[in-house]
Amino acid sequence: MSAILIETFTILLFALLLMVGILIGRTRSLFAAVMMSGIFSLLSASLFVVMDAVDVAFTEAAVGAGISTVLMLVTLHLTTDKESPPVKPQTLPLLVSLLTGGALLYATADFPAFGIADAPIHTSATAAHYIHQSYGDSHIPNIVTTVLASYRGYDTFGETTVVFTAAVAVMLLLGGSSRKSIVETIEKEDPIALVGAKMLIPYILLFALYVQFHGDFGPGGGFQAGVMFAAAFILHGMVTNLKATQAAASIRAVGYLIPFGVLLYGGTGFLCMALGGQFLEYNVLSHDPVHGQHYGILLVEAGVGITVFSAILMLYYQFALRGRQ
Amino acid sequence: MSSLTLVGAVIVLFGTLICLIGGVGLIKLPDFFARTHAGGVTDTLGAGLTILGMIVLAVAFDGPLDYRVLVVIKLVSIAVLLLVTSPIAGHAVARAALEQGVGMDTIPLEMLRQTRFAQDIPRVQLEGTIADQKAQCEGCLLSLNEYATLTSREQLQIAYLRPPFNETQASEFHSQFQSIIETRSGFATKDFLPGGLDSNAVLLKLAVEEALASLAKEATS
Repeated sequence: MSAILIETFTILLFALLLMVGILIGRTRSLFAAVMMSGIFSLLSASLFVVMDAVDVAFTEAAVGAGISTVLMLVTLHLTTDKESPPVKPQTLPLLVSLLTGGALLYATADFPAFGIADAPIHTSATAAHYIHQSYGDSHIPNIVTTVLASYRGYDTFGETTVVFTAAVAVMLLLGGSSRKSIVETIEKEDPIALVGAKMLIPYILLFALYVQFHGDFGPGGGFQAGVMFAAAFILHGMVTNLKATQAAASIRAVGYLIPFGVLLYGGTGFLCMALGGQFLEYNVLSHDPVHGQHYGILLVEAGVGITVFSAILMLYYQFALRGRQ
Repeated sequence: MSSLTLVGAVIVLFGTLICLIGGVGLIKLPDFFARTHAGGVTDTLGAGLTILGMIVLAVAFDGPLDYRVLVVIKLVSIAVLLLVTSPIAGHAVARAALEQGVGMDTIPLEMLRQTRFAQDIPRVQLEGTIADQKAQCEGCLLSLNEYATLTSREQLQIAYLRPPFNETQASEFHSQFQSIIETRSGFATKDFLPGGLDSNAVLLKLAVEEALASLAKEATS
Protein backbone atom coordinates (compact mmCIF):
# COMPACT_ATOMS: atom_id res chain seq x y z
CA MET A 1 0.00 0.00 0.00
CA SER A 2 2.55 2.55 1.08
CA ALA A 3 4.87 1.52 -1.76
CA ILE A 4 2.11 2.27 -4.27
CA LEU A 5 1.48 5.56 -2.50
CA ILE A 6 5.16 6.51 -2.72
CA GLU A 7 5.30 5.54 -6.41
CA THR A 8 2.18 7.58 -7.12
CA PHE A 9 3.61 10.59 -5.34
CA THR A 10 6.90 10.25 -7.17
CA ILE A 11 5.25 10.02 -10.58
CA LEU A 12 2.93 12.93 -9.75
CA LEU A 13 5.80 15.12 -8.60
CA PHE A 14 7.90 14.25 -11.64
CA ALA A 15 4.95 15.08 -13.91
CA LEU A 16 4.56 18.44 -12.16
CA LEU A 17 8.31 19.05 -12.48
CA LEU A 18 8.11 18.39 -16.20
CA MET A 19 5.14 20.73 -16.56
CA VAL A 20 6.88 23.52 -14.66
CA GLY A 21 10.02 22.98 -16.72
CA ILE A 22 8.10 23.32 -19.97
CA LEU A 23 6.33 26.42 -18.66
CA ILE A 24 9.65 28.02 -17.70
CA GLY A 25 10.93 27.36 -21.19
CA ARG A 26 7.87 28.82 -22.83
CA THR A 27 7.26 31.97 -20.83
CA ARG A 28 8.85 35.22 -21.95
CA SER A 29 8.17 36.96 -18.66
CA LEU A 30 11.31 36.51 -16.61
CA PHE A 31 9.38 37.33 -13.44
CA ALA A 32 7.08 34.37 -14.02
CA ALA A 33 10.10 32.22 -14.88
CA VAL A 34 11.76 33.11 -11.57
CA MET A 35 8.59 32.32 -9.65
CA MET A 36 8.22 29.02 -11.45
CA SER A 37 11.85 28.12 -10.80
CA GLY A 38 11.00 28.57 -7.12
CA ILE A 39 8.10 26.14 -7.58
CA PHE A 40 10.48 23.81 -9.42
CA SER A 41 12.82 23.80 -6.42
CA LEU A 42 9.98 23.22 -4.00
CA LEU A 43 8.77 20.26 -6.06
CA SER A 44 12.32 18.88 -6.13
CA ALA A 45 12.48 19.26 -2.36
CA SER A 46 9.20 17.31 -2.05
CA LEU A 47 10.69 14.60 -4.26
CA PHE A 48 13.74 14.38 -2.01
CA VAL A 49 11.47 14.03 1.02
CA VAL A 50 9.59 11.20 -0.69
CA MET A 51 12.96 9.57 -1.36
CA ASP A 52 13.98 9.97 2.30
CA ALA A 53 16.76 12.45 1.58
CA VAL A 54 15.59 15.03 4.11
CA ASP A 55 18.92 16.82 4.45
CA VAL A 56 19.06 17.42 0.70
CA ALA A 57 15.39 18.42 0.66
CA PHE A 58 16.08 20.90 3.43
CA THR A 59 18.91 22.49 1.48
CA GLU A 60 16.93 22.53 -1.76
CA ALA A 61 13.93 24.21 -0.08
CA ALA A 62 16.08 26.80 1.67
CA VAL A 63 18.50 27.58 -1.16
CA GLY A 64 16.56 26.76 -4.31
CA ALA A 65 13.06 27.88 -3.39
CA GLY A 66 14.06 30.58 -0.94
CA ILE A 67 17.31 32.40 -1.42
CA SER A 68 17.95 31.95 -5.13
CA THR A 69 14.42 33.16 -5.93
CA VAL A 70 15.07 36.30 -3.90
CA LEU A 71 18.46 36.84 -5.56
CA MET A 72 16.89 36.40 -9.00
CA LEU A 73 14.18 38.92 -8.12
CA VAL A 74 16.79 41.42 -6.98
CA THR A 75 18.59 40.85 -10.28
CA LEU A 76 15.37 41.48 -12.19
CA HIS A 77 15.01 44.71 -10.25
CA LEU A 78 18.41 45.71 -11.66
CA THR A 79 17.66 44.67 -15.22
CA THR A 80 14.25 44.02 -16.76
CA ASP A 81 11.58 41.39 -16.35
CA LYS A 82 10.98 40.81 -20.06
CA GLU A 83 13.10 38.41 -22.05
CA SER A 84 14.23 40.08 -25.24
CA PRO A 85 13.06 38.12 -28.27
CA PRO A 86 15.82 36.24 -30.10
CA VAL A 87 17.02 37.99 -33.25
CA LYS A 88 17.17 34.81 -35.31
CA PRO A 89 16.29 31.18 -34.71
CA GLN A 90 18.89 29.86 -32.31
CA THR A 91 19.86 26.46 -33.66
CA LEU A 92 23.19 26.03 -31.90
CA PRO A 93 21.87 26.53 -28.34
CA LEU A 94 18.99 24.19 -29.14
CA LEU A 95 21.42 21.59 -30.44
CA VAL A 96 23.62 21.90 -27.35
CA SER A 97 20.59 21.60 -25.06
CA LEU A 98 19.28 18.58 -26.92
CA LEU A 99 22.70 16.91 -26.89
CA THR A 100 23.18 17.55 -23.16
CA GLY A 101 19.68 16.36 -22.37
CA GLY A 102 20.18 13.30 -24.55
CA ALA A 103 23.49 12.48 -22.87
CA LEU A 104 21.89 12.80 -19.45
CA LEU A 105 18.98 10.60 -20.50
CA TYR A 106 21.45 8.06 -21.88
CA ALA A 107 23.32 8.14 -18.56
CA THR A 108 20.19 7.39 -16.56
CA ALA A 109 20.04 3.99 -18.25
CA ASP A 110 23.03 2.99 -16.12
CA PHE A 111 21.31 4.02 -12.91
CA PRO A 112 20.02 1.29 -10.64
CA ALA A 113 16.22 1.20 -10.40
CA PHE A 114 14.73 3.35 -7.65
CA GLY A 115 14.72 1.59 -4.31
CA ILE A 116 16.21 -1.78 -5.31
CA ALA A 117 18.27 -3.50 -2.64
CA ASP A 118 21.37 -4.40 -4.66
CA ALA A 119 22.14 -0.91 -5.90
CA PRO A 120 25.87 -0.08 -5.61
CA ILE A 121 25.17 2.39 -2.83
CA HIS A 122 23.78 -0.42 -0.68
CA THR A 123 26.39 -3.02 -1.51
CA SER A 124 29.51 -0.87 -1.23
CA ALA A 125 31.79 -1.41 1.74
CA THR A 126 32.03 2.34 2.39
CA ALA A 127 28.28 2.70 2.90
CA ALA A 128 28.27 -0.32 5.19
CA HIS A 129 31.12 1.20 7.14
CA TYR A 130 29.27 4.49 7.53
CA ILE A 131 26.11 2.78 8.68
CA HIS A 132 27.76 0.40 11.12
CA GLN A 133 30.62 2.47 12.44
CA SER A 134 29.44 6.08 12.47
CA TYR A 135 27.55 5.88 15.73
CA GLY A 136 30.44 4.13 17.46
CA ASP A 137 32.93 6.62 16.06
CA SER A 138 31.13 9.80 16.99
CA HIS A 139 27.91 9.00 18.88
CA ILE A 140 26.01 11.13 16.37
CA PRO A 141 22.67 9.68 15.25
CA ASN A 142 22.46 11.57 11.95
CA ILE A 143 24.81 9.68 9.64
CA VAL A 144 24.55 12.43 7.02
CA THR A 145 26.18 14.88 9.41
CA THR A 146 28.96 12.46 10.29
CA VAL A 147 29.63 11.71 6.63
CA LEU A 148 29.59 15.36 5.61
CA ALA A 149 31.58 16.86 8.43
CA SER A 150 33.87 14.05 9.48
CA TYR A 151 34.32 11.16 7.03
CA ARG A 152 34.25 13.43 4.04
CA GLY A 153 35.44 16.59 5.73
CA TYR A 154 37.73 17.36 2.77
CA ASP A 155 34.75 17.50 0.38
CA THR A 156 32.81 19.80 2.66
CA PHE A 157 35.88 21.99 3.06
CA GLY A 158 36.01 22.19 -0.72
CA GLU A 159 32.33 23.11 -0.88
CA THR A 160 32.79 25.84 1.71
CA THR A 161 35.67 27.19 -0.36
CA VAL A 162 33.42 27.16 -3.43
CA VAL A 163 30.86 29.28 -1.56
CA PHE A 164 33.65 31.62 -0.50
CA THR A 165 34.93 31.86 -4.07
CA ALA A 166 31.45 32.56 -5.42
CA ALA A 167 30.99 35.41 -2.95
CA VAL A 168 34.39 36.85 -3.83
CA ALA A 169 33.63 36.60 -7.54
CA VAL A 170 30.31 38.42 -7.17
CA MET A 171 31.96 41.09 -5.06
CA LEU A 172 34.60 41.61 -7.74
CA LEU A 173 32.06 41.64 -10.57
CA LEU A 174 29.58 43.96 -8.90
CA GLY A 175 32.10 46.49 -7.76
CA GLY A 176 33.25 45.40 -4.35
CA SER A 177 32.16 46.30 -0.87
CA SER A 178 34.03 49.56 -0.54
CA ARG A 179 31.87 51.27 -3.13
CA LYS A 180 29.49 53.96 -1.96
CA SER A 181 25.96 52.68 -1.95
CA ILE A 182 23.49 54.33 -4.27
CA VAL A 183 20.48 52.55 -2.91
CA GLU A 184 17.15 54.24 -3.32
CA THR A 185 15.12 53.74 -0.20
CA ILE A 186 11.78 52.11 -0.62
CA GLU A 187 9.16 54.78 -1.12
CA LYS A 188 6.56 53.35 1.19
CA GLU A 189 7.22 50.88 3.94
CA ASP A 190 4.36 48.45 4.15
CA PRO A 191 3.33 48.34 7.83
CA ILE A 192 1.64 44.95 7.48
CA ALA A 193 4.70 43.29 6.00
CA LEU A 194 6.87 45.06 8.58
CA VAL A 195 4.82 43.77 11.52
CA GLY A 196 4.74 40.28 10.01
CA ALA A 197 8.49 40.29 9.49
CA LYS A 198 9.04 41.50 13.04
CA MET A 199 6.99 38.57 14.28
CA LEU A 200 8.88 36.09 12.13
CA ILE A 201 12.52 37.19 12.22
CA PRO A 202 13.31 36.18 15.85
CA TYR A 203 11.88 32.73 15.23
CA ILE A 204 13.74 32.34 11.95
CA LEU A 205 16.98 33.15 13.79
CA LEU A 206 16.07 30.79 16.62
CA PHE A 207 15.25 28.04 14.15
CA ALA A 208 18.51 28.67 12.32
CA LEU A 209 20.40 28.18 15.59
CA TYR A 210 18.43 25.00 16.20
CA VAL A 211 19.24 23.72 12.72
CA GLN A 212 22.89 24.63 13.22
CA PHE A 213 23.34 22.85 16.52
CA HIS A 214 20.77 20.10 16.13
CA GLY A 215 22.22 18.92 12.82
CA ASP A 216 23.91 16.08 14.70
CA PHE A 217 20.54 14.62 15.63
CA GLY A 218 18.17 15.59 12.85
CA PRO A 219 18.26 16.99 9.34
CA GLY A 220 20.20 20.18 9.08
CA GLY A 221 23.65 21.58 9.62
CA GLY A 222 25.81 24.50 8.71
CA PHE A 223 24.64 24.95 5.12
CA GLN A 224 20.94 25.09 5.94
CA ALA A 225 21.45 27.16 9.09
CA GLY A 226 23.61 29.67 7.25
CA VAL A 227 20.96 30.08 4.57
CA MET A 228 18.30 30.63 7.23
CA PHE A 229 20.35 33.23 9.07
CA ALA A 230 20.83 35.04 5.79
CA ALA A 231 17.10 34.70 5.01
CA ALA A 232 16.21 36.47 8.27
CA PHE A 233 18.46 39.40 7.39
CA ILE A 234 17.27 39.50 3.78
CA LEU A 235 13.66 39.55 4.96
CA HIS A 236 14.55 42.48 7.19
CA GLY A 237 16.20 44.24 4.28
CA MET A 238 13.17 43.68 2.08
CA VAL A 239 10.51 45.06 4.44
CA THR A 240 12.49 47.98 5.85
CA ASN A 241 15.38 49.47 3.97
CA LEU A 242 18.92 48.29 3.66
CA LYS A 243 20.27 51.05 5.91
CA ALA A 244 18.51 49.51 8.90
CA THR A 245 19.75 46.05 7.94
CA GLN A 246 23.29 47.31 7.56
CA ALA A 247 23.09 48.77 11.05
CA ALA A 248 22.56 45.21 12.27
CA ALA A 249 25.03 43.52 9.92
CA SER A 250 27.37 46.00 8.31
CA ILE A 251 28.68 45.12 4.89
CA ARG A 252 32.23 45.34 6.20
CA ALA A 253 31.59 42.87 9.03
CA VAL A 254 29.83 40.47 6.67
CA GLY A 255 32.78 40.76 4.32
CA TYR A 256 35.16 39.72 7.11
CA LEU A 257 32.91 36.82 8.09
CA ILE A 258 33.11 35.14 4.67
CA PRO A 259 36.81 34.18 4.94
CA PHE A 260 36.49 33.75 8.72
CA GLY A 261 34.24 30.70 8.26
CA VAL A 262 36.66 29.11 5.82
CA LEU A 263 39.56 29.90 8.16
CA LEU A 264 37.65 28.36 11.08
CA TYR A 265 37.15 25.19 9.04
CA GLY A 266 40.74 25.03 7.84
CA GLY A 267 42.04 26.11 11.27
CA THR A 268 40.26 23.16 12.85
CA GLY A 269 42.05 20.93 10.36
CA PHE A 270 45.43 22.46 11.19
CA LEU A 271 44.67 22.28 14.92
CA CYS A 272 44.21 18.54 14.47
CA MET A 273 47.61 18.42 12.77
CA ALA A 274 49.19 20.46 15.55
CA LEU A 275 47.83 18.03 18.10
CA GLY A 276 49.46 15.12 16.33
CA GLY A 277 46.68 13.91 14.07
CA GLN A 278 46.09 14.34 10.38
CA PHE A 279 44.26 17.19 8.67
CA LEU A 280 40.65 17.19 9.95
CA GLU A 281 41.22 14.11 12.12
CA TYR A 282 39.06 15.24 14.99
CA ASN A 283 39.88 12.31 17.30
CA VAL A 284 42.91 14.11 18.69
CA LEU A 285 40.98 17.23 19.70
CA SER A 286 40.04 15.75 23.06
CA HIS A 287 41.22 12.99 25.38
CA ASP A 288 38.26 10.93 24.20
CA PRO A 289 38.06 10.35 20.41
CA VAL A 290 34.24 10.58 20.49
CA HIS A 291 34.44 13.96 22.23
CA GLY A 292 37.05 15.00 19.72
CA GLN A 293 34.66 14.15 16.89
CA HIS A 294 31.96 16.26 18.58
CA TYR A 295 34.24 19.28 18.94
CA GLY A 296 35.55 18.94 15.41
CA ILE A 297 32.12 18.61 13.82
CA LEU A 298 30.81 21.51 15.89
CA LEU A 299 33.68 23.73 14.75
CA VAL A 300 33.57 22.88 11.07
CA GLU A 301 29.77 23.16 10.98
CA ALA A 302 30.12 26.59 12.57
CA GLY A 303 32.65 27.47 9.88
CA VAL A 304 30.30 26.31 7.13
CA GLY A 305 27.37 28.19 8.71
CA ILE A 306 29.31 31.44 9.03
CA THR A 307 30.64 31.32 5.47
CA VAL A 308 27.29 30.41 3.91
CA PHE A 309 25.45 33.06 5.93
CA SER A 310 27.87 35.86 5.14
CA ALA A 311 28.32 34.84 1.49
CA ILE A 312 24.57 34.83 0.80
CA LEU A 313 23.98 38.06 2.70
CA MET A 314 26.87 39.61 0.77
CA LEU A 315 25.36 38.48 -2.53
CA TYR A 316 22.10 40.12 -1.55
CA TYR A 317 23.83 43.31 -0.45
CA GLN A 318 25.84 43.47 -3.64
CA PHE A 319 22.77 43.11 -5.83
CA ALA A 320 20.42 45.28 -3.80
CA LEU A 321 22.87 48.10 -3.15
CA ARG A 322 23.72 48.46 -6.78
CA GLY A 323 20.50 50.28 -7.46
CA ARG A 324 18.88 50.92 -10.81
CA GLN A 325 21.33 52.43 -13.23
CA MET B 1 -11.66 3.55 14.34
CA SER B 2 -12.48 5.80 17.27
CA SER B 3 -14.98 8.59 16.96
CA LEU B 4 -12.20 11.12 17.54
CA THR B 5 -10.34 9.81 14.49
CA LEU B 6 -13.51 10.20 12.47
CA VAL B 7 -13.92 13.79 13.66
CA GLY B 8 -10.33 14.53 12.73
CA ALA B 9 -10.75 12.97 9.29
CA VAL B 10 -13.90 15.00 8.65
CA ILE B 11 -12.13 18.24 9.62
CA VAL B 12 -9.22 17.42 7.30
CA LEU B 13 -11.72 16.68 4.54
CA PHE B 14 -13.38 20.07 5.11
CA GLY B 15 -10.01 21.75 4.98
CA THR B 16 -9.10 20.13 1.67
CA LEU B 17 -12.56 20.95 0.34
CA ILE B 18 -11.97 24.63 1.12
CA CYS B 19 -8.59 24.46 -0.59
CA LEU B 20 -10.34 22.96 -3.60
CA ILE B 21 -12.90 25.76 -3.59
CA GLY B 22 -10.01 28.22 -3.47
CA GLY B 23 -8.48 26.51 -6.48
CA VAL B 24 -11.73 26.71 -8.41
CA GLY B 25 -12.07 30.37 -7.46
CA LEU B 26 -8.53 31.00 -8.64
CA ILE B 27 -9.54 29.83 -12.10
CA LYS B 28 -13.15 30.97 -12.32
CA LEU B 29 -13.22 34.41 -10.73
CA PRO B 30 -13.22 37.35 -13.12
CA ASP B 31 -10.36 39.63 -12.12
CA PHE B 32 -7.06 39.65 -10.35
CA PHE B 33 -8.19 40.86 -6.94
CA ALA B 34 -11.10 38.46 -6.72
CA ARG B 35 -8.67 35.67 -7.52
CA THR B 36 -6.23 36.83 -4.88
CA HIS B 37 -9.13 36.85 -2.46
CA ALA B 38 -10.04 33.28 -3.43
CA GLY B 39 -6.46 32.14 -3.06
CA GLY B 40 -5.58 34.02 0.10
CA VAL B 41 -8.68 33.59 2.22
CA THR B 42 -9.37 29.96 1.40
CA ASP B 43 -5.69 29.16 1.81
CA THR B 44 -5.70 30.39 5.38
CA LEU B 45 -8.90 28.61 6.36
CA GLY B 46 -8.19 25.47 4.34
CA ALA B 47 -4.69 24.99 5.69
CA GLY B 48 -5.87 25.92 9.18
CA LEU B 49 -8.68 23.37 9.15
CA THR B 50 -6.40 20.69 7.71
CA ILE B 51 -3.90 21.25 10.49
CA LEU B 52 -6.67 21.34 13.10
CA GLY B 53 -7.90 18.00 11.77
CA MET B 54 -4.39 16.60 11.93
CA ILE B 55 -4.10 17.77 15.56
CA VAL B 56 -7.31 15.88 16.37
CA LEU B 57 -5.94 12.84 14.54
CA ALA B 58 -2.68 13.09 16.48
CA VAL B 59 -4.59 13.23 19.77
CA ALA B 60 -6.64 10.22 18.72
CA PHE B 61 -3.54 8.35 17.54
CA ASP B 62 -2.82 5.19 19.51
CA GLY B 63 0.77 5.79 20.54
CA PRO B 64 3.05 7.00 23.31
CA LEU B 65 1.94 10.24 24.96
CA ASP B 66 5.17 12.18 24.52
CA TYR B 67 5.19 11.36 20.82
CA ARG B 68 1.65 12.68 20.40
CA VAL B 69 2.42 15.82 22.38
CA LEU B 70 5.44 16.45 20.17
CA VAL B 71 3.37 16.09 17.00
CA VAL B 72 0.70 18.44 18.35
CA ILE B 73 3.32 21.05 19.26
CA LYS B 74 4.83 20.84 15.78
CA LEU B 75 1.42 21.16 14.12
CA VAL B 76 0.49 24.14 16.27
CA SER B 77 3.72 25.92 15.35
CA ILE B 78 3.08 25.25 11.65
CA ALA B 79 -0.45 26.63 12.07
CA VAL B 80 0.85 29.78 13.76
CA LEU B 81 3.42 30.25 10.99
CA LEU B 82 0.75 29.87 8.31
CA LEU B 83 -1.62 32.18 10.17
CA VAL B 84 1.04 34.90 10.05
CA THR B 85 2.55 34.34 6.63
CA SER B 86 -0.43 33.39 4.48
CA PRO B 87 -2.47 36.61 4.93
CA ILE B 88 0.68 38.72 4.61
CA ALA B 89 1.59 36.98 1.38
CA GLY B 90 -1.92 37.62 0.03
CA HIS B 91 -1.70 41.23 1.15
CA ALA B 92 1.70 41.69 -0.46
CA VAL B 93 0.50 40.27 -3.77
CA ALA B 94 -2.62 42.44 -3.78
CA ARG B 95 -0.71 45.55 -2.77
CA ALA B 96 1.96 45.04 -5.39
CA ALA B 97 -0.77 44.59 -8.01
CA LEU B 98 -2.58 47.71 -6.85
CA GLU B 99 0.61 49.74 -7.06
CA GLN B 100 1.24 48.41 -10.54
CA GLY B 101 -2.30 49.37 -11.51
CA VAL B 102 -3.54 45.86 -12.20
CA GLY B 103 -7.28 45.78 -12.74
CA MET B 104 -7.81 49.42 -11.83
CA ASP B 105 -10.60 49.68 -14.35
CA THR B 106 -12.83 47.41 -12.32
CA ILE B 107 -12.60 49.22 -9.00
CA PRO B 108 -15.26 51.88 -8.45
CA LEU B 109 -13.97 55.27 -7.48
CA GLU B 110 -15.82 55.39 -4.19
CA MET B 111 -14.14 52.19 -3.11
CA LEU B 112 -10.74 53.57 -3.98
CA ARG B 113 -11.44 56.79 -2.13
CA GLN B 114 -12.16 54.90 1.05
CA THR B 115 -8.80 53.22 1.02
CA ARG B 116 -5.64 54.92 2.11
CA PHE B 117 -4.34 54.40 -1.41
CA ALA B 118 -6.42 57.34 -2.56
CA GLN B 119 -4.01 59.61 -0.74
CA ASP B 120 -1.00 57.52 -1.63
CA ILE B 121 -1.50 57.82 -5.33
CA PRO B 122 0.84 60.63 -6.26
CA ARG B 123 -0.47 63.39 -8.50
CA VAL B 124 2.38 64.00 -10.84
CA GLN B 125 2.87 67.40 -12.38
CA LEU B 126 4.39 66.73 -15.74
CA GLU B 127 6.58 69.07 -17.70
CA GLY B 128 8.36 69.17 -21.01
CA THR B 129 7.55 67.48 -24.27
CA ILE B 130 5.16 64.57 -24.66
CA ALA B 131 8.14 62.18 -24.71
CA ASP B 132 9.36 63.63 -21.42
CA GLN B 133 5.91 63.26 -19.95
CA LYS B 134 5.76 59.67 -21.02
CA ALA B 135 9.09 59.07 -19.32
CA GLN B 136 7.77 60.68 -16.16
CA CYS B 137 4.68 58.53 -16.32
CA GLU B 138 6.82 55.37 -16.19
CA GLY B 139 5.83 53.52 -13.09
CA CYS B 140 2.74 55.63 -12.54
CA LEU B 141 -0.47 53.86 -11.87
CA LEU B 142 -1.52 54.37 -15.44
CA SER B 143 0.74 55.43 -18.23
CA LEU B 144 -0.11 58.10 -20.73
CA ASN B 145 -0.83 55.47 -23.36
CA GLU B 146 -3.19 53.70 -21.03
CA TYR B 147 -5.07 56.91 -20.42
CA ALA B 148 -5.60 57.23 -24.10
CA THR B 149 -7.25 53.82 -24.25
CA LEU B 150 -9.63 54.37 -21.36
CA THR B 151 -13.23 54.31 -22.48
CA SER B 152 -15.74 53.58 -19.79
CA ARG B 153 -17.08 56.10 -17.36
CA GLU B 154 -15.62 54.15 -14.48
CA GLN B 155 -12.21 54.20 -16.03
CA LEU B 156 -12.48 57.94 -16.39
CA GLN B 157 -13.24 58.17 -12.73
CA ILE B 158 -10.09 56.25 -11.98
CA ALA B 159 -8.17 58.45 -14.33
CA TYR B 160 -9.30 61.43 -12.29
CA LEU B 161 -7.11 60.19 -9.47
CA ARG B 162 -4.04 60.56 -11.63
CA PRO B 163 -4.16 63.53 -13.99
CA PRO B 164 -1.05 63.33 -16.14
CA PHE B 165 -1.15 66.93 -17.31
CA ASN B 166 -0.54 70.11 -15.43
CA GLU B 167 -3.12 72.83 -14.87
CA THR B 168 -2.09 74.99 -17.80
CA GLN B 169 -2.41 72.15 -20.24
CA ALA B 170 -5.73 71.23 -18.68
CA SER B 171 -7.21 74.69 -19.18
CA GLU B 172 -5.87 74.71 -22.74
CA PHE B 173 -7.72 71.54 -23.44
CA HIS B 174 -10.76 72.94 -21.74
CA SER B 175 -10.86 76.13 -23.75
CA GLN B 176 -10.20 74.37 -27.03
CA PHE B 177 -12.60 71.53 -26.84
CA GLN B 178 -15.26 72.45 -24.31
CA SER B 179 -18.09 72.79 -26.79
CA ILE B 180 -17.25 69.57 -28.60
CA ILE B 181 -17.16 67.67 -25.36
CA GLU B 182 -20.35 68.99 -23.98
CA THR B 183 -22.30 68.46 -27.16
CA ARG B 184 -20.76 65.21 -28.34
CA SER B 185 -19.42 63.11 -25.50
CA GLY B 186 -22.55 63.01 -23.39
CA PHE B 187 -20.47 63.02 -20.23
CA ALA B 188 -21.60 65.36 -17.52
CA THR B 189 -18.12 65.84 -16.24
CA LYS B 190 -19.04 67.52 -13.00
CA ASP B 191 -20.75 64.31 -11.90
CA PHE B 192 -17.49 62.63 -11.36
CA LEU B 193 -15.12 65.56 -11.24
CA PRO B 194 -15.79 67.58 -8.11
CA GLY B 195 -12.75 69.70 -8.85
CA GLY B 196 -14.20 70.80 -12.16
CA LEU B 197 -12.99 70.35 -15.69
CA ASP B 198 -9.87 72.42 -15.29
CA SER B 199 -8.29 69.91 -13.01
CA ASN B 200 -8.48 67.06 -15.41
CA ALA B 201 -7.14 67.25 -18.86
CA VAL B 202 -7.11 63.55 -19.44
CA LEU B 203 -10.81 63.40 -19.25
CA LEU B 204 -11.06 66.22 -21.70
CA LYS B 205 -8.63 64.53 -24.00
CA LEU B 206 -10.63 61.33 -23.86
CA ALA B 207 -13.92 63.06 -24.33
CA VAL B 208 -12.45 64.94 -27.25
CA GLU B 209 -11.27 61.75 -28.81
CA GLU B 210 -14.66 60.16 -28.34
CA ALA B 211 -16.34 63.17 -29.80
CA LEU B 212 -13.98 63.20 -32.75
CA ALA B 213 -14.52 59.49 -33.29
CA SER B 214 -18.25 59.87 -33.35
CA LEU B 215 -17.84 62.79 -35.74
CA ALA B 216 -15.75 60.59 -38.00
CA LYS B 217 -18.33 57.85 -37.81
CA GLU B 218 -21.05 60.25 -38.82
CA ALA B 219 -18.94 61.45 -41.70
CA THR B 220 -18.44 57.96 -43.10
CA SER B 221 -22.08 56.88 -42.78
